[in-house]
Amino acid sequence: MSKLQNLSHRLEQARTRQRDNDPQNNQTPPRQNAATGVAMRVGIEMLVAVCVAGFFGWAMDEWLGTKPWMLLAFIPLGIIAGIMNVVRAAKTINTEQDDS
Amino acid sequence: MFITPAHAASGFEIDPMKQFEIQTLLPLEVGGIDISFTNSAAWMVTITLATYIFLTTAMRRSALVPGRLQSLAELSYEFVLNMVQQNAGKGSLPYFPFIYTLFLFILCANMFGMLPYAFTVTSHIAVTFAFAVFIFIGATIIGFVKHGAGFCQFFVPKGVPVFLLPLLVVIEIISYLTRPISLSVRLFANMMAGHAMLKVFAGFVGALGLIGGWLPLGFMVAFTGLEILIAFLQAYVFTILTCIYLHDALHMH
Repeated sequence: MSKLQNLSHRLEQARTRQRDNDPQNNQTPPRQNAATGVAMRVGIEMLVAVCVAGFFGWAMDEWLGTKPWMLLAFIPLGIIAGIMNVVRAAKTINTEQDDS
Repeated sequence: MFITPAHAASGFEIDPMKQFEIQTLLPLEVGGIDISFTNSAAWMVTITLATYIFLTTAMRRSALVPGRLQSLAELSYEFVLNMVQQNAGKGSLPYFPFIYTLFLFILCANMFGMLPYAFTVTSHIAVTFAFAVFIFIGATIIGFVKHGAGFCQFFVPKGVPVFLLPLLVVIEIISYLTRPISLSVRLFANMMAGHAMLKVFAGFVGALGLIGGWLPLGFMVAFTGLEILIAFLQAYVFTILTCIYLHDALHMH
């Protein structure tokens, strides 16, 4: 039994002890359920999708001279994309919390 | 900048947006393009040097049983390594150095911004957007290199009736294009809002003076703690989303 093996054994013991004593803090990633954090993360997702789609539509209108039709077509698409983004973000946040 | 200075009754002057002003330290112009060395650039250099010095001094004598500084360095390394392995999946290790650098830089930028009189580099969308666009273009290139033209299938959802497909592909592409913007806006908005809020409350302390100033002062102490948490959380979110985008580029689902 070398010194090293002894040490790693003791480390392992200490780690399990810590894990058992502290069920709240045994995960490495910080808990994401700080509500404002989640709200920010998800809310921006929605907002940005609509803005990007709106900008896209506006730029295409300028380019093709079809004011305002492209803008009107793209904003609903942006809203749908935003909702999809929100659902996806919520899914990743859920898995982060589950498997941590 | 956007908000005119508020003059309190005592003539006390606050301008919450002044802290975000870019000041030229070393005027420089090349070919008509202004590339002056600004306070923002100076802080970025400071951050880079700080992380460099931190890691080199921490790992100079890499002992088997780490000391305080070394375990801090190892902790951050393992933290990011776990994050990359869990979120970016197989074959993501070659990109770990980049992601680790990114995490350390953003974390340091956010934390240095918490120091009094400091300039928060990440409170400028120019900085965060440059990061996000670099990551976005990089991830897209990785996707096309790994999968060739097959990466385009990423935009085609499975199990969808054919007549809906054109619509859904457009939606998927919009959703993909929002990534760099949501990534950069999230970091920038959090940092800017937090710091502006701190300044506003600091202004209240000054304006209300010795009698009424204690309440906002107490609030500021608590809010500074929250800001430090947000500084860490936003660095974490930025890197974890980078990992997720990398995962999409490597595995396409």
